[in-house]
Amino acid sequence: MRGTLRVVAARLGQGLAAALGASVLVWALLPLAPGDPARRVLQARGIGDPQPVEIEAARVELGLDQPLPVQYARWLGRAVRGDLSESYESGQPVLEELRTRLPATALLAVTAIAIAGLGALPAALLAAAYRGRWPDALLRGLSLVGAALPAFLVGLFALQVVVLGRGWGRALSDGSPGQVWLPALVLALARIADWSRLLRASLLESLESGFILVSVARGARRLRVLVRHALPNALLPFLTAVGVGVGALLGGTPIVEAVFTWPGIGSYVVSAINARDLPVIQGFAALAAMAYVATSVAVDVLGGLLDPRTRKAKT
Amino acid sequence: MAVRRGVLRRLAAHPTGRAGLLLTGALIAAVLVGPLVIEHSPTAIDLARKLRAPDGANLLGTDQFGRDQLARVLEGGRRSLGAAALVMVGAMGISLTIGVTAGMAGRLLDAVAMRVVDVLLALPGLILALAVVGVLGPSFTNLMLAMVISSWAYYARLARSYVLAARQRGDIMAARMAGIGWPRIVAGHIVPAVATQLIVVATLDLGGVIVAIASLSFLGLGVQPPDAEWGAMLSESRLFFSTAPWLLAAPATAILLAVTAANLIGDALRDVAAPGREGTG
Amino acid sequence: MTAARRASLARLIAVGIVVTTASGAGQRAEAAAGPEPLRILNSFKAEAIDPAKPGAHWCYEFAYCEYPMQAADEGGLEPWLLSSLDPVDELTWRLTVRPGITFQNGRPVDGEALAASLQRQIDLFAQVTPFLPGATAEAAGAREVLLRTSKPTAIVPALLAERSLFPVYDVAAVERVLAGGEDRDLAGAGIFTAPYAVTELTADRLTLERYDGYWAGMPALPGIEVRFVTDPQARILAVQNGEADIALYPPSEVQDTLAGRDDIFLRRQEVAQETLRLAPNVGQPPLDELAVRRAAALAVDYEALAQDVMGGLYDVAQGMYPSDHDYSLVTQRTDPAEAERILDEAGWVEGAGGVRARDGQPLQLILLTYPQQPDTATHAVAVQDQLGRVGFDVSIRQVEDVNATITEEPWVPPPGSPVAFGCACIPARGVAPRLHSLAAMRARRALRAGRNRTLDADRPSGWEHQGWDIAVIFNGTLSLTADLKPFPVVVGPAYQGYEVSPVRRLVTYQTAPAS
Repeated sequence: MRGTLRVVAARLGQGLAAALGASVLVWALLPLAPGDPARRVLQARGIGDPQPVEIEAARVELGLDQPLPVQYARWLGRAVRGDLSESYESGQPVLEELRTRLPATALLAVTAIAIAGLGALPAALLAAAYRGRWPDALLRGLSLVGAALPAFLVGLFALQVVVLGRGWGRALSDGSPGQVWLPALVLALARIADWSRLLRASLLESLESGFILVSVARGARRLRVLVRHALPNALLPFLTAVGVGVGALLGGTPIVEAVFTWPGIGSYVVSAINARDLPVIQGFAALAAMAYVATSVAVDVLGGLLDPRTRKAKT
Repeated sequence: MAVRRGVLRRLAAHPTGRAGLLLTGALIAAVLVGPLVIEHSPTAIDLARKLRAPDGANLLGTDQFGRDQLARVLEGGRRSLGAAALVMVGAMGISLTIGVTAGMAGRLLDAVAMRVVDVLLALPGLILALAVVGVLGPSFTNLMLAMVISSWAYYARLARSYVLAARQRGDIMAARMAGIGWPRIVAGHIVPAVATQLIVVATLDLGGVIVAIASLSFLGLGVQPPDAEWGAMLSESRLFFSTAPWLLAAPATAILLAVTAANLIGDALRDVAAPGREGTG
Repeated sequence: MTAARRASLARLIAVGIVVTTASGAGQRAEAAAGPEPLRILNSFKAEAIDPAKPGAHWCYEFAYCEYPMQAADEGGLEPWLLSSLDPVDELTWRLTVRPGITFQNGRPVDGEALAASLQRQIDLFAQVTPFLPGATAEAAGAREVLLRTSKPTAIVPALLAERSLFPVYDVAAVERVLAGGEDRDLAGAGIFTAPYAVTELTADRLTLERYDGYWAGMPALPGIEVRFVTDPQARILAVQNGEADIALYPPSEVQDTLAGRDDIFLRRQEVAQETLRLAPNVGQPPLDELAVRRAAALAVDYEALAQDVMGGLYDVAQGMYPSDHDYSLVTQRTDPAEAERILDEAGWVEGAGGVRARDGQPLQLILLTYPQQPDTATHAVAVQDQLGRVGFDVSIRQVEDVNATITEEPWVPPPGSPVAFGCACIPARGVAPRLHSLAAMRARRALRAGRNRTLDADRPSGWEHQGWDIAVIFNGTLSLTADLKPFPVVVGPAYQGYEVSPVRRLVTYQTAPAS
């Protein structure tokens, strides 16, 4: 247990380092950014046609007249105290805006991971049990197609065919659990394709490496054998791959959120990018880094708990 | 060179690999030769012929400006595939440099480089790309730059491990003992070997890069109008789903074909030249 | 079946009956209540409720605030919350409040309340200051207010109707709320006089409820919900799917998808009040040359822009104003042959690839567009093509902030002095306060620009290439009118008969679905 805690602490430290690194990267690119933030802030305040004097004043107020490292240090100082400064567009604190939208993204991500896992598991089992026969070939073909379909394309078609065509789901989501199933399914599709193939390979490997007699070729028997013996051993390497896949899934959330107008952090950041709202982008980069590391820590801990070896060690 | 030719030969022998190579070849040929054969320009407006279904004059139909869709799809292909190649080359160039430096230089430099790589690896790629595009502004060049920045770290880490493995190789050690200097060994033996292995790994990700480019352009963060690109074309045609479905079918199919081709090659590569196993040609 | 199973089955059936009756009863109750709340999708956020803050002017469009004067749909200004407005002398106006008006919180609107409301806007709202610097508003009776200006201001009636400047509100209530809270706490405080009252303003939506005590009559709808959705396609899809009734700022391609549909309809103003303009940068070659400007003006195909490019969504621009305004002149026509002749005479000879050149200099233009107004991109593509046919080489550049670009980089107003801006724009007929005030703001900008550029002794260093030649601007500076845009909205079946107000008052107390 103590070992796990130490690992978790190390990984969380890594998360903070990642957040720091992400923010450094974003700030380092700032000199290349076009446009004038002072002017933009003034316009958001309704002064559509600012005088050079007003622009100067705004620049001083926002601290933009300082050299870049000083600005960064100031931003960092505020950030560690939980103050991610204010959005250029709305003037509201960035942390507040991100925080109100976090539950919607979390709901979407968790649901998608669950769907992907629950979808990949039976698919992989069937493919491994009926290896070489048509279920296996079907899975192979489906996962090839699934991996080739970008999420935005599937989402686009889903909106037209499912939402407008059949009337299931909503074109404008409001982030509630009742509407999460379609965006989560779209988000999960590529992962189901990947994970079912991975798990299938993992299952077959543990079958062959074990002492299990596979001369019994009847499908049903084989399935039970797979589940009872091969699956526990196959789970651990599978979960490691899941950890990596979760990153790809999280990375795909802004796109699915944008397509379905899901009121999460991803769609917010996309509109912030279009509005060139730099404080939001800076805050988002740092938070996303920490969130991703936290998630992979959670996945690793879960993997550790499920690992039959550690479980056996405990008994 | 011998290693690469060996891999290609083995790919061609593999059924999936053969399919992938054929499809890729066809796509590249279409994208390069097509514009020379088709008389329409991807940006020429002809309002008299707007929103025509595919017919003799416009094989894939026209959009709301009367622009020929076939020309636009091919132009978009040139842009996407070219960008994917550029991103891969850029990412591999940087990662090769950093990886070789980390693997060959002293422990301090190695540690520093790997810390930086770890930090970058802790971010999901697309999120990092979004952040970079967010700062630099939406444009196709910035999109490519963002993707290079968000992908090099993964390859750098791999490159370093390949370098470390290569250092232990028999022929390298023999060369050292014969008195050949490190620079010549690195340039002549280590870099080519590592580069080949990196290319194999990078090819596995090519499909993902194409999807990422299309996705970001779909969001409006890449190509700007009137330039053609598959994701952007899909985004502009969303409302025409029931009235002009050809506007969506063409770029969607193009994306599917391109990514499938890349994935087929990647699958075959995984069987034929598994990373970690050095290609001995 | 065992007894236990029978019991649980019975319980299940009982629950089923109760649930069905309840929902049935609920539906019956709903059916009796009348029209549903109106659901509108907007691309812009309402940023504040307090009228002294920017971003609060949406109350004009969505009927949650009212003004002393009002632009009538048929044109002209009429007293609205006032019963009369009379000039006393060249610096003073008498405003008389209509009797029987109350704020949504119940407090009656008297002279004191009106004066306080006007004064707070004069003191605190930046956009008022250029028009009424140092003005004062004082109550002079139970329902009278005297407005004193520091210099003669003939446009006071228009200012009192202008959508962002002087909504009438309960200052005491506002100050009370703001003393202990922030802007969004003003929701529910009932500070306006309008038929609908703000009950909630969040980052995603604005919720309004009917005010039963509205002075002009009972509002037809129980409430309004305005959702902020930035994706224009998503707004259309939502109306298609029945999730909203009206979508604002539709993408222009929607026109091409409407034929034969019964789930969405396009409604637009009868007369265009807004324009899409091509603003030339006359401070640099080649557009500093009259011949080139004339040729460009003749090469643009205005009819194609309105009919073909925008699918008939826009009206053809024949001059600066909509042609049915009695003061509007036809100043624009399309004649590419004439354009080519003018260029030939000026020495611009056609060269390689159809691009004209003179003394080795190609005839090149840079066309600016900006993402906030997608129609600029569509127009730019078409104009690029049209100018290309007479020998221009046009490239399109998108900028983040078109206002910044054209004011930062030296911009010279057309010869004739900035003063011409101010006078030329005040319509003889008070058509829309918006058009007028927009012109006034452009006049301000031109005045400042003029002062910086032409009256100052030191000019910006040379007139080097500033990086752009034509900016396609929505509602922008006086220049070529590319297109006249009647404000379009997309509506669902319930609001098929919706009329878009010529003065963009999108909701009134009488707005209701077709019954």
